[in-house]
Amino acid sequence: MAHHRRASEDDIAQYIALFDRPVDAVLAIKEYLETQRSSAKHHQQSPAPDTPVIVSARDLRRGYKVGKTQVDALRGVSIEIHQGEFVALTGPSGSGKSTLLQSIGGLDKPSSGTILVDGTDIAKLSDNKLSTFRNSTIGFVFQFFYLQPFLTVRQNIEVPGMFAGNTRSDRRLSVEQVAASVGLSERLEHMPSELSGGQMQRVAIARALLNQPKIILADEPTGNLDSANSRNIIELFDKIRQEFGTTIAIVTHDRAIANRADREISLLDGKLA
Amino acid sequence: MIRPLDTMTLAITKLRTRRVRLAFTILISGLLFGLLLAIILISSGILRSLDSFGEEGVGEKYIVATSSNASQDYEFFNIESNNTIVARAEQLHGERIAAKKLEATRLGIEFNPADDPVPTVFDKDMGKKIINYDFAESPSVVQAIQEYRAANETPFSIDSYTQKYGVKRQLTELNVQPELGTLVPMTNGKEDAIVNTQASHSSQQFQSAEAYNSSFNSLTVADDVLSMPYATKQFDPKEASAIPVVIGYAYAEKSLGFKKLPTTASPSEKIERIRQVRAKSATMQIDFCYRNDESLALLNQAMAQQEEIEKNKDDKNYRTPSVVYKMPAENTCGPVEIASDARTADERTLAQKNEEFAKTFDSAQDPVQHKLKFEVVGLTPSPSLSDTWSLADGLSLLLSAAAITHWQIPASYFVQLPDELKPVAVFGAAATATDISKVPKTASDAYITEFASLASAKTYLNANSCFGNCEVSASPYGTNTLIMDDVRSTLETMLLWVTGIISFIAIIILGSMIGRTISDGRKETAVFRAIGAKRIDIVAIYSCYTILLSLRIIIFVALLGIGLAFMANYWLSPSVTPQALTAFSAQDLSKQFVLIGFDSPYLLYIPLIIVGISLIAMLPPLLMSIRRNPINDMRQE
Repeated sequence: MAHHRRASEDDIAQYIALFDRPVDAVLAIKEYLETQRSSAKHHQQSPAPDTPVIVSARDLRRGYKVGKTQVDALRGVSIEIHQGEFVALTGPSGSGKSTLLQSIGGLDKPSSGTILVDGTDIAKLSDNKLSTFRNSTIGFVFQFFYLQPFLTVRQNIEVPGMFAGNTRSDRRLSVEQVAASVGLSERLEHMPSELSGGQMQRVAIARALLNQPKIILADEPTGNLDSANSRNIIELFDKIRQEFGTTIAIVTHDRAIANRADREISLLDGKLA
Repeated sequence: MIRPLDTMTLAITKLRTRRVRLAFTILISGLLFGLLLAIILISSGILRSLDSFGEEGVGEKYIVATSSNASQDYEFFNIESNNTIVARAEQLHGERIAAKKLEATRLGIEFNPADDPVPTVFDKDMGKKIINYDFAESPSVVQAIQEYRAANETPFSIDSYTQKYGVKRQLTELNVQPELGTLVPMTNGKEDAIVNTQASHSSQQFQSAEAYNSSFNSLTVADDVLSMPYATKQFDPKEASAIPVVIGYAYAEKSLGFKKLPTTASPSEKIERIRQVRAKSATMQIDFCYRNDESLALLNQAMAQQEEIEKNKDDKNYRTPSVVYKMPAENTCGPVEIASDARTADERTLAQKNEEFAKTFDSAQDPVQHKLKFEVVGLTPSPSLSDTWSLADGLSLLLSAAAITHWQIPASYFVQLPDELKPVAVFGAAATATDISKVPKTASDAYITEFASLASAKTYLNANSCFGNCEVSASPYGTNTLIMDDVRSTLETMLLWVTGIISFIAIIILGSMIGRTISDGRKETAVFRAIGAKRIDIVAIYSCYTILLSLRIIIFVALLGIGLAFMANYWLSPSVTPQALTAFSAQDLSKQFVLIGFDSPYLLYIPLIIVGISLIAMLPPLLMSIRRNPINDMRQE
């Protein structure tokens, strides 16, 4: 539905005809209008908060070769994310938003530029220290959840604790806390195959939260979910931010998420738009 | 770093994916190692049983027989052109002809020197005189060679060969092989030469292994160390009326009238047969007939004459010979006597003169024959072979490879026997000896040495085992101890090679499977890395996965290998046991030949090898995987 002109009655009739039930169409239109309203509000409230900067990227550049072609994913990006901030990284496919997210998370190393995360220049960390940094400071959430199919929900959530070398009893406590936060207390002994997509993403978020990271980096976390589940997940992120004071950076194409964020950082062709 | 239990938790999840591939890998690797394990268990069992049966008979001794090849130097083709021998043979022949002329003149008989030609001939190729092959056995040539040997040959001394090794003692075993004549058992109490109208037994052709094993091959007077282990009953040589002898089991079985057991006979029937043969052989006596060459020639002449007379009995023109011989009864080994003599007085005188002349110049003797009575005091092993080869036959051959299968007279009994039981014509110098180790050995006697240790016996064997043109040739004797050591080391070498080949194949299979698993798990590895796993954590997870996989393979291998070995034991032990009992003359008939043993060190090596090669197979793909950028693997969605 185009938003740069007023919709005619015909437009609305055609749009409703796309749905099996009229009520679904009404809900979709309502959601769209809310998004539009919150977007307008969001852009009016985009200044950064006063909290300390937790992520500071300066002149990030990242190039790599695809076959014989040199691809510049990031071309001099500088951003700052404040503690407790909820940031949406948006932009069209190939704009470099995922690369930026992975660079912040220490999964990818920039070709040049510096990234300070929680005061640490992560480009200078050894592979081992970078792993410890990711384990303790960052929580990753992925579009496809990446749960272990033969582990229970409890064990899946425990995995980052395993890599931290925590004892089983320590992990058990943490698991129950985060499971309660994401609303999965009743599902801890279930297998992932017994969960819906939304529940699986909740497990992935609980897993990301286990070691109480300062930052959660989510790469299109709702990309594999329907709109209702997407909404719930975003609300969950917001709740986490409120409850734990966790900084959240989300790569998304979803306008609803971008609008829900404190700030939207848009990229285009490897640069800030 | 990740804790061991957590490592195992994550590793186990990998074992639950791609189950068909996993099962295939376990199956193929397990089959290879399962077969190897079965081979190890079976060979270990066989070796253990062989050791156990090896304690029977002569027992665990390190005995080697050494044959001197010195006489080869004096074989005809090596001395035919020897100038000294040729010249001496001609000289002796000349003297002999002169002496014959004189003696013929004295006796008043005719002598034609052409009947005793010169034993040499001019060889064009060599350009000189050589001994004529046709007259190689002429008295002149034989004497010339004997003189030459006496002057040039160094007497053989076994000590010069064995003294530098750890010798325990020299043992003696003398072949009872009359120089002039033959000594053969009288089958069913009858003289074979008469029954079968065949004088010579040396050309006897055996139609089957069974026939060979149940025949008489040779008789020795043997040191008690070699013969007494097979003696099963008390014998008083001073009061003896027969010569004590240990004979072959198969001969006893046949002579006692037992029919060959059918191939379908049960193991208990076979063992019962052994028990019966042993019991009955304790009262068994066998007659031997000795005839010297003249007696044998006369017997042949009598048989031919009888045949001729029988053939011409209806021919009125046929004239019976002037001297007609009477055949001895077939159970007497008696002399051939003259039945009728139609010669004139002059003819008889001439015959006597010719006989006297022959005795003077040739080795002609009066006919001599002896009937000897032997009493069976024990049974030597007989390889129990069937005419159709089976695995049991193969084992039986292995069991009896060095076993004593000929007949033996225990030396301590022999020297105490009354003189009339051991005629010199049959037993030679041994007949009157009080210590058979002092009796000079003939060319057919081996030198038997017992070594103090396996190592010294093997060192000696290695230095003196020879199949070519050597001074001596040595081989294990009387006991399988030395052969078993060779079998054991050969088996170990084979197992080493088989293990190597199987390990190589398994590395390829496991490397391929584990490589695929690691490759399939790249995304998961990337996620683990994203949520904080160190490279060492990933290595730990995959190492644990590999070890768990190895354990499954080990369990499968153990079940398969032990199962196969038990099946082999179940099927083969009942058929091998009776053969082992006879091949070793085991006293305890309840003894079992077990084909499964758990005492090989390889049993420990196999699990280690499986785990080891699995880890080796895992390393290259894992090292490549953990060096990859996790982003690349996560992008491949």
